[in-house]
Amino acid sequence: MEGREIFWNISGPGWMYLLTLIALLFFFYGIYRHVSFWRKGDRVGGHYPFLPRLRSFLAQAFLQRRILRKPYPGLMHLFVFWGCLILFLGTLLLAIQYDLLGPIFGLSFLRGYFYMIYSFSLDLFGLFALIGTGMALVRKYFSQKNPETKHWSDSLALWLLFFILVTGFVIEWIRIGVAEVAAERSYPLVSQIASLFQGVPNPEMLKGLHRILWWIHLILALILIAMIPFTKLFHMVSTSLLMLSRTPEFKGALTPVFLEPLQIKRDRLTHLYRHQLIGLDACTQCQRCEETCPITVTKEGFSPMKVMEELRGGLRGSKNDLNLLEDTESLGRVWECLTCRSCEEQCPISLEIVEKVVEVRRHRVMAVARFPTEIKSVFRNLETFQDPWAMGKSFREDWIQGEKTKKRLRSGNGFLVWIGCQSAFHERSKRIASSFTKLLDALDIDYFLLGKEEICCGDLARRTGNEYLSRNLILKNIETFQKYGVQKIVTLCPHCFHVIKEEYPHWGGRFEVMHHSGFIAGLIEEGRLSVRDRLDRLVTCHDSCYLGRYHGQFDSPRFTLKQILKGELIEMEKNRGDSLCCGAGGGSFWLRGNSGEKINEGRLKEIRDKKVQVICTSCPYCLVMFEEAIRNTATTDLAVMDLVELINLP
Amino acid sequence: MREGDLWVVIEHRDGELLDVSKELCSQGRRIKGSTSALVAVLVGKEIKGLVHRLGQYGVEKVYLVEGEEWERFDPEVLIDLLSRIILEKSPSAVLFGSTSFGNSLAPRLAIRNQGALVTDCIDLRRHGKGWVAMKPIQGDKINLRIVPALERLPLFTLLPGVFEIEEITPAKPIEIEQIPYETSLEKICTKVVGFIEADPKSAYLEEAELIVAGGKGLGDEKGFEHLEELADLLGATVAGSRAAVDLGWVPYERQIGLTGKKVAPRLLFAIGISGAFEFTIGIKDSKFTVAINKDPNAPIFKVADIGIIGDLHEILPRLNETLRSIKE
Repeated sequence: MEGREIFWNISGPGWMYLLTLIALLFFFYGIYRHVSFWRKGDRVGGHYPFLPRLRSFLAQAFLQRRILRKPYPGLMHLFVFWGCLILFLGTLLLAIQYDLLGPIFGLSFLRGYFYMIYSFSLDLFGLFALIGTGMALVRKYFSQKNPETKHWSDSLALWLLFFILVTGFVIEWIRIGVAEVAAERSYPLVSQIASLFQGVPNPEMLKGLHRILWWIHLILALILIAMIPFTKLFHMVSTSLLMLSRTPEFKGALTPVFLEPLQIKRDRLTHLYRHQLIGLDACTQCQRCEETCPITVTKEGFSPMKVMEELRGGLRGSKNDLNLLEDTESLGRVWECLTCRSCEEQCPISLEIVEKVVEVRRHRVMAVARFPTEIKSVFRNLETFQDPWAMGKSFREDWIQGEKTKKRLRSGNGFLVWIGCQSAFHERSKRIASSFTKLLDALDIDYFLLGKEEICCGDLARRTGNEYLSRNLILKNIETFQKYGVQKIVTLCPHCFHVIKEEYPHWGGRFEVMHHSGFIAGLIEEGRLSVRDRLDRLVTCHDSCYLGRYHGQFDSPRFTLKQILKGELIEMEKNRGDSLCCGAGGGSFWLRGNSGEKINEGRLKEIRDKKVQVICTSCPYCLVMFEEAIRNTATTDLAVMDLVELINLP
Repeated sequence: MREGDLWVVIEHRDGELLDVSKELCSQGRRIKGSTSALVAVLVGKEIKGLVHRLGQYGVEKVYLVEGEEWERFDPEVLIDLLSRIILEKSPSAVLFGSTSFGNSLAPRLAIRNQGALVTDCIDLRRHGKGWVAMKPIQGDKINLRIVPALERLPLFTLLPGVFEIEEITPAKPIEIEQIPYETSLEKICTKVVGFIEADPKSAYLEEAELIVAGGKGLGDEKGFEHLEELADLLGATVAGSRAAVDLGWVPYERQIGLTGKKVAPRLLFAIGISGAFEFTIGIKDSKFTVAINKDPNAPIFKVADIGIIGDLHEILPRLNETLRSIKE
């Protein structure tokens, strides 16, 4: 069976090679510039398995899992991606046939059934690409939200793609219609369209048109290729590389600064790993992070996307330094970030934005001592008293009621119950600690407490950029854990949970860590605790960032709640991964926020609309934030309780 | 024991001894020992009248530096003079009040004379051949006992308001020694032009002795006016809880609490403040707290020394009225 005549109707294909060469020169020069920039970063020490990286690359690049979370832009992107990929592979096959296999080996594989499939898939995926491009154009001109992010090159790339696809189809139809050899003529549908061109009175004119369109098609395609490294299109390279180069570290665990001597300046490019620099290059300003960032939503100015953009802008200005001190729109407000990782959750390529925010804070805190005054006293308190409340060791055991619990202090077998500063000192949160120990005592479960020997877990100092201080706290705690032979830890606070579980290992502290919600769910599953149908209230569950988004533990509090409740658990509109931060994360509990709606009151508004009676939290900070919001808005008939308090309700 | 007399450096204003100087003298008399005398260093213009007053607090001898140019204390010149007489007379120790005056003199003198300085003492006693001083550190949580090295001249600044004032009838008349001096005015880089009494309402919150703090319970601007009136009558500093700051009644610099300032006044009024932990953490060092709130279950009553349950719109005007009549 026949195939087709390559370069039908085209003379002087030599020019094509020359133009392709020029386009490729541009392309590779651009790539070179990016690569030499990335190479300024530090290598990641140690070896990480390749397979998980490949897996994430395949899932995100080919299946586009995260992009598809939003149907319209997701499908649009999927169409364009697969369309262009197949068209590119098709053209590549053509080149292999014509320039390699044909002349060298005299082989021809683009014929027969294979050609049929080949030609058909190219048409099909070309159609997909055209649909996707059309969707993008519609979105661009009719429904784009933020015109600030428009760049002339974005529109250019889209229109180029559109015209490349259109001209591609037209020259195909003319070829099928007029050429002597064209296998497609026998296909259904294609033949019908192509037959429009058959028997036209003036085939020479059509051939002329074909020639012109062919060259236009070629030149536009080459321009598109040449501009890839210089425009947003580059994300096809950078995001792929990001997926492949990123270490499979746990999400949300900050990169430690544990070089000796401690590097307090963080503004050199060499202070970032190479994959982090690729990450900076990979943001395409899709604005998904802005749509959910609690700060962007409630206050003008700060946005996760702009943090990335402004950091990158600083890079282009200077060759080797990050511009971390400039008070640009978002970098100037870097203290407002709640480190809730909502942006990273939404980001189609999971860019580590929180980490960048902390990097800016680190430099400002450690190198130039420029930070809000409120944080100053927190640092001093942590240094002097090892707790942010400036209470001191001697008050750390004040929450303990009853001799039974007191006996657990620094003695006993079993696991360690890590109370955390918030539950040890805060009048309201203390009740979480006593509820939990009461529950354990009632069930005769073996555990012990560190009491006075507990100090701040280091989360607060780490998220606010005081790596030095946090490192000291962490090392001290690891020492204490080793002194008491701690192996398993149950924490009451998701922040302690996250830091001890995921960040202590950086300093050699490896322990089995659980949050109390997971522990309680375990007790119920094992049948040691029965809480069935205890409560007849309308309850909703608020996912704390550090338990939910950071660790994906959405189900364990819900599992327990569904057991306790007689009725159904009421879900908020924004739940699980989309949950909104209470406003306390990342040190914000200790900071005075700027103007604008308060985050906790915003979240409360949503809850109030659901007409629930109890908000169930699993974090002592969320608890206090909601109580404040309830007080401030004079809301009645709404209580906030920790999961363990709900269990202990009489 | 280091030989020599125990010295106190006297502060006075408008022809009156400051309380802190009376405290210094009284404590000095109690600890000077039987073999040495209590000597006061008195500097100023027309201060002869004060000499006799010093006798009442146990001073046996006065080094008098008197002259027109000493109308204002000037540490820069005084430092030379004091250094010289310390060198000449060799005291066993020198006491200052922990005031801006004492705090500017004592460290300089310590450096000049290679002395051993202990600041902010709350107790000072004999200890073997030398002294032992006690000073609070870490936000008053720990008291540190310090024994200065024997071979150094010990200097102490004593916290005002800690030591008891004792008046006595002097056994013998006070001895006066005029200290001759030459002032070289060119040496003075800074000239003290005068003292301006701080407006208590705008004083530093952290250092304020009296604070009147308001919260959301004030209800409106009207309630806040009552509060300001109370502050005026007491000579107190105005502050607010976060809610009051958010409502714009008090500027952020005057916010007490977790995200504001930590205060340690002698007396604090918490008016219309429910007393969330985020607020009370800022007043835990307050020596005496009076709370006014209409909610009997408000947590502020747990930390208050006096709690008044009732409507502040009724209580405040009456309180102000009473204060005004006492003042008159």
